[in-house]
Amino acid sequence: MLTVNSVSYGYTKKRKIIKNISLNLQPGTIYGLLGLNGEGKTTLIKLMEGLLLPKEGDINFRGINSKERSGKYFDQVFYLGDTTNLPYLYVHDFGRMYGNFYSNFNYTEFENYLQEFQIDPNSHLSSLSLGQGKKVHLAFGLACNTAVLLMDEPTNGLDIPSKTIFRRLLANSLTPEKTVVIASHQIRDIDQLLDHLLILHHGELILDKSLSDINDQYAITSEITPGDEIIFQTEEVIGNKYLIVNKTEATSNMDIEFLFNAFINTSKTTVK
Amino acid sequence: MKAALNYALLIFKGNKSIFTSILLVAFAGFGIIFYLTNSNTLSILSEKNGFDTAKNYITAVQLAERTYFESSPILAILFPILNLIILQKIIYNPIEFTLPLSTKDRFFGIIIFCSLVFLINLIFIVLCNYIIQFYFQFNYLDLAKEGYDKLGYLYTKIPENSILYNANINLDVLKYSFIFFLFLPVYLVGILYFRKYSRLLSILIFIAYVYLSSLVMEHLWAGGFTQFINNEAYVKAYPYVLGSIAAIFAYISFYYLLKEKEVH
Repeated sequence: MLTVNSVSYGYTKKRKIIKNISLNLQPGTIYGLLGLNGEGKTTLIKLMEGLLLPKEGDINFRGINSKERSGKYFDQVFYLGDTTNLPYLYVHDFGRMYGNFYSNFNYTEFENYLQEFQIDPNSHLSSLSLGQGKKVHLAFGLACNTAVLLMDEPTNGLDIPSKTIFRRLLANSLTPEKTVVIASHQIRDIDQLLDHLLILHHGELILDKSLSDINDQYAITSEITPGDEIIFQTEEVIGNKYLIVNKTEATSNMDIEFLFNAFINTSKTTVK
Repeated sequence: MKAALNYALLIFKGNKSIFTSILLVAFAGFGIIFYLTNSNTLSILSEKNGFDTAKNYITAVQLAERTYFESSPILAILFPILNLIILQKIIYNPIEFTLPLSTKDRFFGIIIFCSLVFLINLIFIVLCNYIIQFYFQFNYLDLAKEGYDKLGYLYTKIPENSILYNANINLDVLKYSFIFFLFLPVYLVGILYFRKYSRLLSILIFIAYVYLSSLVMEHLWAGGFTQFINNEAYVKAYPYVLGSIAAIFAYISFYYLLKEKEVH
């Protein structure tokens, strides 16, 4: 389990990007880290990886502090950045040489993932497009079989079929021991995968709930009845859409984009 | 240590242009600096005439009096530094930075990589000096020996530091090139700490270091107590002792920068 304890961070002393965030990331769960541009999604992901070091608080994985930047930590917490700067190697050499450092790396899986993405392992990384490079990095990240997989905008640069393949591969690779965090503002690309929502707004975590809990507590509807407690409403082409407090046992189909808009536009106290 | 070695090889193999770059910088740099510092030698060469033997004797003897390529040791130190700028990109690349390695392995991996770059450049510089010697000896050595005799320079030998024995400078190359390892940590700290103008700032740090060393030399090490010291070895040792102490501090700083510097 990866724990984030009261972490604050700022690039300058005056302005904090991340304000006193605490999280417990459970295994077997795919987390969606959502937020507007510049709200600190990438910063939080980089803090979890150990690329950035918290100004206050700490981040631990199985008792190892991210500040230690130890081999054991990196062996279990993999970071897939939004930009990919791959070395000057053939794809198969990249897999073998870099995979060699990860204790659970599986080269056969790497090749299978590449096959799914239609990448030839004999091609040279320098000859691949941006999107193809991203696919190689995704395949590599999945094949490393780390306990925590942190992804920052993983679908950026992927074509539409590849986004589908990515979702399928990620869903298939999930094990009860694995935690996945996906930071994205392209919610539609990942919404089917998510088990749990984390929403960052103005540097604070305004939502940390599983989708099933959200389903229990809230409902999305286009028709309201007297007595409904409306939390948020928007006017859409087909009519109004409401987020209301769920007072029944019934669950509604969760539109994550709508939920996201609701939570960032509603005051924190109302939502919680 | 195996992980450090693997990491060094990974950096080397993952940056294939580095090998070409080492050779290119060494070849072009050696050629340019040899040309600039040996213009007199080269002008003597142009005077060789295939038919006029007397003039050729003079040319060969003049050439024998020219000193070998004295700048070689500096090239063995300077050129690897130029090539190592790529480390800035590598160290800050999240794919490399998040490899499961301890800071110790990462530190030694980088040092091994730098040593590899240094060694390849060193071998190339040494080889170039042999090639120059081979060229000059093939064309002028016998002529110079005959020239000394024919022109009446009796009992005069070709100097050991003649361009005709250019490879003799390789002893100095091997001896002094290891100063590279005193500069290296300062440079590594420079490129890791300063992301902008890192080369310039590293040079400024180095100049400040040399200046401070000279102050220490003048007022503390020997200068202030010269009247009491007649041990030449003690006086001569200062650049190496101070350099080594500074280098050790810089290596320690580099280690902690690797451990604590953030990757944005």
